[in-house]
Amino acid sequence: MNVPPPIKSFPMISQWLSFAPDGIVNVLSGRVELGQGISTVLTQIASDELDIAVDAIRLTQGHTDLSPAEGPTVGSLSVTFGGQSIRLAASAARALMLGRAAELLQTTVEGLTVREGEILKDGLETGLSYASLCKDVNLDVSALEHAAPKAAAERTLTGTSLPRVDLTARLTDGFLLHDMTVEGMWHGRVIQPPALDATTGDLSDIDLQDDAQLVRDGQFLAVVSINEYVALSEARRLADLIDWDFRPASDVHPIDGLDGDIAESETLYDSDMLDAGITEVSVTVTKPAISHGSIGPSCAVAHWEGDALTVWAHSQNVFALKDSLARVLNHSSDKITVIFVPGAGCYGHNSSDDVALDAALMARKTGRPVRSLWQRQDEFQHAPLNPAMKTKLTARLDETGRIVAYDALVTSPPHSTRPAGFEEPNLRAQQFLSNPMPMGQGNDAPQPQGGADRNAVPGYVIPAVRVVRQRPAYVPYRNSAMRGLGAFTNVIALEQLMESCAEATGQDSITFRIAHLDDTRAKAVIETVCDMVGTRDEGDNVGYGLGYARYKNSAGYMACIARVVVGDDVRVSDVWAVADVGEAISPDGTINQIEGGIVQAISWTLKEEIRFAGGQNLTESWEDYPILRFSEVPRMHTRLIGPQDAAPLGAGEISSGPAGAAVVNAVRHVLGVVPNRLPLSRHALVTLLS
Amino acid sequence: MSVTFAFRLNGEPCEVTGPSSMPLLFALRGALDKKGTRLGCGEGHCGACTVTLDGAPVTSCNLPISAVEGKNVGTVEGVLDHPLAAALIRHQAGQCGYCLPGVLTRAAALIDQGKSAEDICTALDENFCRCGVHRRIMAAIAEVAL
Repeated sequence: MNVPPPIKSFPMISQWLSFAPDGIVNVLSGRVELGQGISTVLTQIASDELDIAVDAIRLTQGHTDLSPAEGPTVGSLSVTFGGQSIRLAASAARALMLGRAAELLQTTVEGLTVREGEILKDGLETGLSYASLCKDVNLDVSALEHAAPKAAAERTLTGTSLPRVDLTARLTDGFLLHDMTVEGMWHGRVIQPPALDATTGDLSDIDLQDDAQLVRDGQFLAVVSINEYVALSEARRLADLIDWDFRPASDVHPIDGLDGDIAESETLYDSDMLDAGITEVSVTVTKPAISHGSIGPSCAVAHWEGDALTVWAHSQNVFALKDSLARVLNHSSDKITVIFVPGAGCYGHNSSDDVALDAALMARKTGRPVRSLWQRQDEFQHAPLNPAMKTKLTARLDETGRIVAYDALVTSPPHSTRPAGFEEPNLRAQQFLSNPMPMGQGNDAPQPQGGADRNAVPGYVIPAVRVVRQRPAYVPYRNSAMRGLGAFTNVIALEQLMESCAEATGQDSITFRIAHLDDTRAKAVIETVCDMVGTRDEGDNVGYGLGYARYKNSAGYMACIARVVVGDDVRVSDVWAVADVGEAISPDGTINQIEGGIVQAISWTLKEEIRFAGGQNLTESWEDYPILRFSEVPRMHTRLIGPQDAAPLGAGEISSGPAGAAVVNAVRHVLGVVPNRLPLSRHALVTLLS
Repeated sequence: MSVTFAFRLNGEPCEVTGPSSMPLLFALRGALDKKGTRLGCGEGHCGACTVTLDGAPVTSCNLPISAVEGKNVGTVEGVLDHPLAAALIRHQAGQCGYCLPGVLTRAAALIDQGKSAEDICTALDENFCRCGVHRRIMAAIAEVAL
């Protein structure tokens, strides 16, 4: 039995679920619903294991007083870790219930089954049920001692595409945190200082409207009002009036900064055979800083009742947020409850934690519940960004045309700067308070997860491998994690390298890849996607490209082929995608995630770049930051080929790298040059061809 | 200075008092308690706050309340029974769903005007979706549009 980490940390069944006398099963999870569909999947798993109706499951996610503190909802691990933990706990609960029923019925468990929570003997009702036995069975016992999850063939609900349990509610009001109201709640808008060292003087001579109030702590400024529009318009008016003093920033562009001073260098993999072989091939790819680009600005509600603070947040990690708030507010974490409520899709570490501190500060100063909401410009200029990075890969090939040595140099700030509890709260406002707390530098997870270096270790079989990660000294923005972290850039670079190596040695690039793989599941996704495309219509401006990766070399396998048409711009007309994620709890949900990742990756590849000049972030609005629109989204042809009886590998982030790589390789085949600088905008194409 | 504006909301008469420059969105989400219409960018770029004004889709985050006097404002609450709403669910055309009320409101209005699925998808360039659900939304529209 594969035992995931969360159930080792939270070993008791009662930490994961409980039965109620009304037939409801309360399931607890630390994994939160970010729009990826995890609430549906966790419901399916629990329902299937317990033989109980879907609507009898009540799922509580990300509640610091109730949920197992599983940590962040990241890394395509929610099914692999969180879902599997619930499966084990639910199977143990079912076994205990049947054991007790057997005692009462003076029979053996073998003849007992469960149908919609009712316990049956030889198919007939016994009068016993989960509900009737709920007070009779102690769940404060080890789940692993009793766990006996069903074999794949016995499951009936997992592996089917249950409609999302939350989608209808998302069509209208009342579901999202943005719509939440607490009695007596006021609205707040932060006035963001333009730089970390920005200061402003006395503001007491500024008059606000009667129903608005200024909140100030050091350089943290906000306007609150019972009326949201008053809070917004007064905050904007005030922002225009305030003179900030700050040191002018360096005029180095973040991409150029990657070639400047290095603050830290770390060799993650090393080998002494790096000069083997006779032919050397090298590629370099740079990617600018990009935004998470949530459609909804970040929101939080905070409410102090005496010294007890409740915060409702759409954070990816309510547990770390609670401890981070305690540290910054200098308050006992026992007196803080953070409750997850869904917001807009975040795709990584955006401002959702920052806004929670803002709300808590405003609520403490005013003595009222406060709902804080960032503005679009704040999201581009003051939220953390997926950092600029540069990946240089060098391969050496022997006389038979095989890669024998591989050397990767990844230059990037760390991708992980999430609030880490008491150690590094890393909430934007903390540095502006009258008792300021500097922001932490963050730290990438070690391999095999990695951060900036994620998937810089090749999934191909290569005897000698070196991977070096270096952190630039100059980073004029907040860096953070976004869907796939460094894997997006690193997979693009590696898949370009494979193309370049095949070209340099006169080999077919698909055959070349297959020859460097020893995993049949990896080969299968590539071969299947090639078969799906069929006849190719290669005109002058039309090209196809392949991208392959196994995310983190441990999650789902993914291969994509993109068809592009290159005119003034690059248009992606079609994407064929094949994934093996092992067991797919909801195949349609998995495909939705994979296709969403593909669309997002195409947008990053072709369009997205936070603009800097004069040391300033100049991206103020969507007009400065185009993303892929309806008329630009390709046709999708997606298949899952994983075995349903294999372990679930994770899916949410697996497609970004392969999709980006497929597009870049397709453009390369049209233009006959190697695109090395993202995004592949119209301007970039002109530069590339001149 | 606060002024009272009278208009119809999903066909029902209503009144809102506020400064004439206040965007309609804040009246909807505030005094009128119709929070299905969402605040996205606040600048009319992303389409999350799309409503209809006498049947024509407009962004409500940058539409002054004074501009709706005497008109009929349609919000997502008025199209939840539209065939497109059910089609979106059938196609599981959503992830986070933040954009969906705006998408549904614009597309339902254009379907009702008899626009083609292709024209509607072009018009949806005014509505951003960051989760990448566009193709599912387009499939749902193709099923319902003439």
